[in-house]
Amino acid sequence: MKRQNARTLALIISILTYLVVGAAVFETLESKQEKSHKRKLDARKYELMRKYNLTKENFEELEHVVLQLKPHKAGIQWKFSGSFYFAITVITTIGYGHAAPSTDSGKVFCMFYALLGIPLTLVMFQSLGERINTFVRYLLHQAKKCLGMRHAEVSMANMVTVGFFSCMSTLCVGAMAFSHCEGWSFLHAFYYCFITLTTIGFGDYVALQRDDALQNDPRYVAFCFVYILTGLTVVGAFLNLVVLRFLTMNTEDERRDAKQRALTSVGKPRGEVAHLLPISASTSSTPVADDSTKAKDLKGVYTEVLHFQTICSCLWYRSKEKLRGSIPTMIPQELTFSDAYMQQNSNCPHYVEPGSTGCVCSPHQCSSISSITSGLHILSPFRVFKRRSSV
Amino acid sequence: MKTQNIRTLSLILSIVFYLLIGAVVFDALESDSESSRERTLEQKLNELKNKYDFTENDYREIERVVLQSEPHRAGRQWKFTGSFYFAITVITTIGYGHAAPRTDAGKAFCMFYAVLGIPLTLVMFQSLGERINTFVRYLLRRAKQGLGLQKTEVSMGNMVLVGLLSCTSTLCIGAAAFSHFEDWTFFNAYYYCFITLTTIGFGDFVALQKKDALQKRPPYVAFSFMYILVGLTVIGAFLNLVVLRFLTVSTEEPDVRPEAREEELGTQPKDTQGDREVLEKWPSDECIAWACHHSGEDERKRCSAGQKGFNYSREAMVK
Repeated sequence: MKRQNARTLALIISILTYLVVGAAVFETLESKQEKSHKRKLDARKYELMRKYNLTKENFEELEHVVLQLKPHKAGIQWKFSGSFYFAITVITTIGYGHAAPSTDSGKVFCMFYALLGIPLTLVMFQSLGERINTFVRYLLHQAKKCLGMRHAEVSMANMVTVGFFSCMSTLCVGAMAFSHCEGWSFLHAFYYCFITLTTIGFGDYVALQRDDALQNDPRYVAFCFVYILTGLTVVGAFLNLVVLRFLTMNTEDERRDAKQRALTSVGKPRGEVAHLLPISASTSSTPVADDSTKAKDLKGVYTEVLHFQTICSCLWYRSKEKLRGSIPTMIPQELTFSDAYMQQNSNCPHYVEPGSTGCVCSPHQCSSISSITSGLHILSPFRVFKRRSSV
Repeated sequence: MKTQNIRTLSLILSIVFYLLIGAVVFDALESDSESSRERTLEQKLNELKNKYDFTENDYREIERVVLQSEPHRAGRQWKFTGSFYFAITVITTIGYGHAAPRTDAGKAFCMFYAVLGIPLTLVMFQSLGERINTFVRYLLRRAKQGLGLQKTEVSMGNMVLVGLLSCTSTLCIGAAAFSHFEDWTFFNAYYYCFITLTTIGFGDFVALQKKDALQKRPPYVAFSFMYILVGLTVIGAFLNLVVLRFLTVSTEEPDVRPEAREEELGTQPKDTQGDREVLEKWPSDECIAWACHHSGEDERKRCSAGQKGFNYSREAMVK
């Protein structure tokens, strides 16, 4: 089975298993408490009904009014600050539900607002998160150099550690602030921050719902908004670092497969296939020089390859790195061959104006390429993906 | 300023502006209705309070009992079915809040559950979405061939159109089903499906909360779970098609300014590590298409052949 299909199937099965396991654990943790809580509430309810001589309908009427008053009791929800708060919960998909549009036009606008807002927000958080990661990488690099360490490169592990600590400190800072301002315990405030910053947003705990804070305490309101948006950025940066590469796995594999298919098509007329290596995976060990016609074909191909190479040297090696993961048998032969050609053309005559192609290419890099190719090992697909985030 | 920085800055400004506009419009749409409703409800409440002559403490008791009974009224929320429903709302980040863990242990487990579950779910939906897109692309190509069309490549426009139609029909099917089962209007059911499948999940409308459905109507329960997961897959496929490329843009693009290049070249250490870093900074295969587009006619022909069936990557760069 294709790798992508196997991967997808495995993921589906994992998720279903995860849901079943989660359901079992939640049931164990919450079900008994639910039963006893319900019993207590019902007992209290009947006491009160008896005390005031309320019928079932009376109580239901009362219930209805109390429930509908709930958001109003928490403050005016739709004045500007409340609406801004609501807009945040929509486009970040947190969706507490502490306030939800009651008018039909409000619901319609909410849907259109989300339609454009959610993708925009996703892109914004990832963009900003990537910038932050790059900056952090730079800072760590400088720090390592300053500390006089031998290996000044910033590894993925370094980045993940920093990312993890940023997330934890963001949650702790929020927990402290909200436990103080909302009167929650530290654990509950931490739980609130966590549920908010993962955009789950149950709504069992919601900030700015006490003492009419939305209208009366603009500084606290500003803090909450800034906290939510900054917190989401920090979490987004961490996701950008760790998770984003996995979201493109199947697409990458498809692209690699297509290139592989294009590369292994032999002798097709021009315009049908890129003029790259015609070597199929099966013919790997015969030295090229033995077969003169084969050598001529290959030489022709390699001229093409070099021409293509100089359009974008970087790409050639990136493609090679990706192929490396899927066609290891091809590599040793073409590597040495290409090295020979590189040494012949070490002055890299085809210097292309970088501006025209958007790629970086220079004689300096060409001469060093041979040392790289002989030094690089066959990478596993996972490590190929690591390169995406330029760690 | 670097391209990526400009892009990021403009995105931040757009979002802030978008939030401001949203706040103003929601204020205009909902504020009046809110104040009039509040007035009516307060009046009703005072009537009832006077009728029954509650003491202040007793009324507060009643209020507390009513609010806390709300999830219980909707049925047993934490038996296996209810917990499964809850687990779905956690890992998909929908988070209705119709039921939320009351025990501290439940809250702690919920957090750990989410930490692993949410990324796993994201990856799963994108993986499955990509498979679906590939399959749809294949079907469309076959259809175009079958119809005897001249150009049988499936363009991005085709895919986006099919994606939009799938999303809309998913929403409409859900709306029809839930308006029937939950006794909501079609509009409210549509609104519910939309809010669910975008994972916003307000909780103002929640399925399986009427007539003890979680315990008594297993086929409807199974349908609801399937609908949420399948619907999220359809949306995920559409996002994979349209939005995902924008999430990875900053990570891939090289800095093409001459000054930046000078910097990069100048500061390269003479060892292979530096070369490797430079290599890694260079762009992905998108660049092939980009380069081909900007080189001569010959190169473009050669390159487009190699990019057979992957027009979308070219279009992504030409955007």
